[in-house]
Amino acid sequence: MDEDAVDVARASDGDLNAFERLVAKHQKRMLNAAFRLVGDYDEACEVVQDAFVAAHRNLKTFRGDAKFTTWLTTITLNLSRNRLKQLRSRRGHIAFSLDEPIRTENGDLAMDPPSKEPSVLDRLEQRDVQARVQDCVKALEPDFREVLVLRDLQEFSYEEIGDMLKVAAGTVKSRLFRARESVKDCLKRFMGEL
Amino acid sequence: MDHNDARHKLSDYIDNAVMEHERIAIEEHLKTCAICADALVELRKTIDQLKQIEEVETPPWMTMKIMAQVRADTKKKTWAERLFQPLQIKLPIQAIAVVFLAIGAFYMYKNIQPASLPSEVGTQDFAAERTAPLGQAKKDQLAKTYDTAPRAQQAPQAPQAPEYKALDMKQEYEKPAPPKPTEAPVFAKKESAYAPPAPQAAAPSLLREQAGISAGSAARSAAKNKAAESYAADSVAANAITGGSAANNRQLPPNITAEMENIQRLLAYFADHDLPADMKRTGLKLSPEPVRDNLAGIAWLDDVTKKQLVACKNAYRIKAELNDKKQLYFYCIEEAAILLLDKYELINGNWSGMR
Repeated sequence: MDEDAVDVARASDGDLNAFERLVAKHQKRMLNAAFRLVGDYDEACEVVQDAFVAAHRNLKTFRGDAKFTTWLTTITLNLSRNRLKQLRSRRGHIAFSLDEPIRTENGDLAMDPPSKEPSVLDRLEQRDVQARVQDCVKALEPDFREVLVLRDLQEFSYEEIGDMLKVAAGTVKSRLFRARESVKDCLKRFMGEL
Repeated sequence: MDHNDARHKLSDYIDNAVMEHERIAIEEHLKTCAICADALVELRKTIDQLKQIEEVETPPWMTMKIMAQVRADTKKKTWAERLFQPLQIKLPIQAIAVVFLAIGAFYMYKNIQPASLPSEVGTQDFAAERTAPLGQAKKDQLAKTYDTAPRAQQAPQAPQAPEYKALDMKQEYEKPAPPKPTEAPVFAKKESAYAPPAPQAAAPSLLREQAGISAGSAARSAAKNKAAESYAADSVAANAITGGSAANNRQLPPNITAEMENIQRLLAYFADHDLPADMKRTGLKLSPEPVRDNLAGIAWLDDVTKKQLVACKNAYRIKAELNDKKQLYFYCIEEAAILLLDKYELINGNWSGMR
């Protein structure tokens, strides 16, 4: 049985304390998922807040077929996708610095067009492994990044990932294979060897 | 299992997401393939690196902020529920609102519709007057077309002869409207559908309604307005032939206005003085028209009447029909007086004077 079932049932009946316990318990995991998917801490915080509000609003539609965390992660995942699209359309084709984003006074990223200086990937060599791994994840296409984050960082099963992304298990496997291979190649490029 | 298959299944192999026979085949392949064995090691290290990524911490205000938003959202939802739920209340209210809107729109349409007619009639009449005389049959045919236009409060009528317009005199006399002395000149310009300031004039149907209230004599008003309708129909017919446009906004020349005043005065006089009592009680069809210089169409008239008609400046005849009994009334209108020149009735296909 889902360990959150009791609090979910109480929250669904209007118990805000029960819902607050769920928030306290899962917010960090949701924030990390959102952060890996969106790639921006502040945006990820916004996504998580929206995700919990949306979850509370739709608690009555949660039937308990899946675990609460799976359902909540699906909401976070969808909101992250939307946020990512908004960010991309807002920024258009302007290139931003991936490794060292610079904030302007109004909070937007400062423009950082490609230069003839060492590339973003070259500059990655100057940073520690953690940062490099994060940047390699960030460089993945969204479809592959989602699977990688859900499997290797969030540790969901293939079946759960398939349900969340609404794709077949075979698709999950192939995407995961390509995502891992891409990250491996990325890391090898900057670290020489793993 | 060949090299490519094994290579592509290494990721699943690490996660124990392969079938038992696949696992055995992969392990067999790994014993002989150094490339795949190296790839497996690198893949495992990569996954280890991914799992070692430090988690970001939530900001200390996050729980409070989320709960504040949830509470605000709950209050908003409660208000929305009070206003719009349950659907058993919301849906009937919406349905009633739609019905009221539809009724309102219908009455607006109905009230606006007649007001647009007078200006058209006025210009069309003028166009008709400017054209050569038309064949009566053609006029009547086109007049029928005009009659299909929507007319508010039009009383049901019995089938009519094509050359006459019906007038339900019985109904008008049984329920006479109270006279209004202040509006004694019932043939005043403002009631005419042919008055020059077209936008102020009422549509024929509206005229009839107004006349029924204000006229001193119901028959007079009805006859007068019926004449206006009849004349308008002919005018529209003429306009249709000559290609006249309702958008032609020229003002009616004075002689047209004067002619319509004459017809109104004539019909009022006819209703008061010469309308037989049996016609007042039963249905009467009548149509007035000016007598032009050409008298060929009424060659059967006796000489005295012919001379009188030619000498008369404004000569008119009223065709009246009651129970298939057809009569003609000839009038001469001078500035202040209306004079009955002669009246005839059709007996066995021949016109003869009624003296």
